Amino acid sequence: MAFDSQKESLSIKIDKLREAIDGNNPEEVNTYAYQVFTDALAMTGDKSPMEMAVKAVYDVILQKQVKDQEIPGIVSSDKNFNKLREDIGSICEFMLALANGDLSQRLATKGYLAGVLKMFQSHLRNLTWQTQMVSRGDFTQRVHFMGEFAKSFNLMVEQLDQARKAQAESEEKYRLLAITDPLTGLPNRRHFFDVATAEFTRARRYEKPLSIIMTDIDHFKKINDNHGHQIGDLVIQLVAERLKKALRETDVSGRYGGEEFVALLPETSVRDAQAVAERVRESIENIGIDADGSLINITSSFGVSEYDGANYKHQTIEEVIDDADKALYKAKNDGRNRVVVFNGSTTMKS
Amino acid sequence: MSDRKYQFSWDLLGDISLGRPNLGPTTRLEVYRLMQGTFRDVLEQRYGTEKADEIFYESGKLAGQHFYKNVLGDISDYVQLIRSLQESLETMGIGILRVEQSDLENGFFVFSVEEDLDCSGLPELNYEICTYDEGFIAGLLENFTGKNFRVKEVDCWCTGDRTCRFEANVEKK
Repeated sequence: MAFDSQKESLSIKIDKLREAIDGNNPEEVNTYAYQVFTDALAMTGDKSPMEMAVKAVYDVILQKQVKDQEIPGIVSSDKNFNKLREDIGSICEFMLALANGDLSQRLATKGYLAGVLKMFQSHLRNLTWQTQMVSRGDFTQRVHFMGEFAKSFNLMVEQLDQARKAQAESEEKYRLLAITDPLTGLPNRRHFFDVATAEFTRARRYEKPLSIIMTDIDHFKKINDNHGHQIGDLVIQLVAERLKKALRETDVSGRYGGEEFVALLPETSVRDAQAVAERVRESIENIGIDADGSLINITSSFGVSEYDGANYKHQTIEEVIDDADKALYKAKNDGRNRVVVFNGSTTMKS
Repeated sequence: MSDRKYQFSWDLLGDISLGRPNLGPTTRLEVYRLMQGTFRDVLEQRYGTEKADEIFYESGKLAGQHFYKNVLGDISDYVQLIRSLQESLETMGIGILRVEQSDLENGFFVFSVEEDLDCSGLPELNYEICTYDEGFIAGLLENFTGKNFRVKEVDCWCTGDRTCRFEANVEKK
């Protein structure tokens, strides 16, 4: 539009504005005031206030930093614009922190946009907590929000849980293999000593008795030589089974050597242990194995000793076992298939 | 007050299956909000805003204590407490609870609650409104830890946030 016609149009609007003021018509005053203002700016080549305001808001939202001088004075002097600029600045800082993984920031700005971002922050913080719980061994944690990510997280935790269980099972299997005699299923000598040492310590602390039974299969070498190792292994298994069957759950037994076994009976006097040994002896005596048509009879010799709990004659479990071994040696020398109780360093009785 | 008429006990919730064989144990959420909103209105008129908030906080705390004893039971493990609480709050339609931060040793917790019974969906009011929830969380934590807690809602649906967020701090003696 040519400058003259712009001037004429502006004059008409100024007249109308005067009329509206004189006529006390606020709505028309508002309308013509805005038009006069806009036209006057247009004549000098400036944009309308609305255009300037929109551009300023765009700049504030979409640019990282907007210099004060880049915002027209008519906009920058508006307090609402400045509040908006401040809030958008806070939101941008908050979003940048979120993008950098900093979940500790506080956003004082209220309203929907800030609320949605705070909700996102809240979800991430909860997810962080759940991940911490998983790292501490709580594999029951599941995420029920955040869509595809939740599915992946849950799958990961389930697989971790399965892997952990498989590892625990494997560890338990190897632990058992390390402490068990594979032929009989009884604890091996090393594990027996571990448990027996703990029981002995407890017996000493509480001044309680305990007894040891040692047994050795009679003429085992002959059985092996005459009938082969398979039968020999079977004999060992049957003797172990009879020994275990005669003991209580609280008793501890183990394979001590080739054909030698040991049992520890907590809180048991030597007399009671002798009775147990006698029952096992009888039970073994009754085993009959058919080997290629010939019947093999098995017997075993027993030595029994006691830590009486009231005195400190024995300092270690090895000393108690050594007494039982001496008694076993005497049982062998006295003709086998019998129970001998250790009764002092030299005197023994059967 | 020695001669009390309204001392609360869990029994006062009544035998709902006996009393409401047809309508059952649930009711519309608007009814709950109607009651809470009108209580808040009258309490504020009579005692002022601050006192009304105090009364709501204390009531919520009492509810939290009874809820802990009667719904959650005797729980000593924190993770188990959170799991039971999440399940109970969700089953009963109270809200979706999540943990953002927990420091048992120093007594600091941040919880968020979505779809909150008290406020989710309310118009924006420019102030946090879940005073009852603040007390409720304080009551639960006090029963679990044996220590006094001060709980403050820092974000609320009513201030434009989508999630209600509560910070709980142990009260130093």
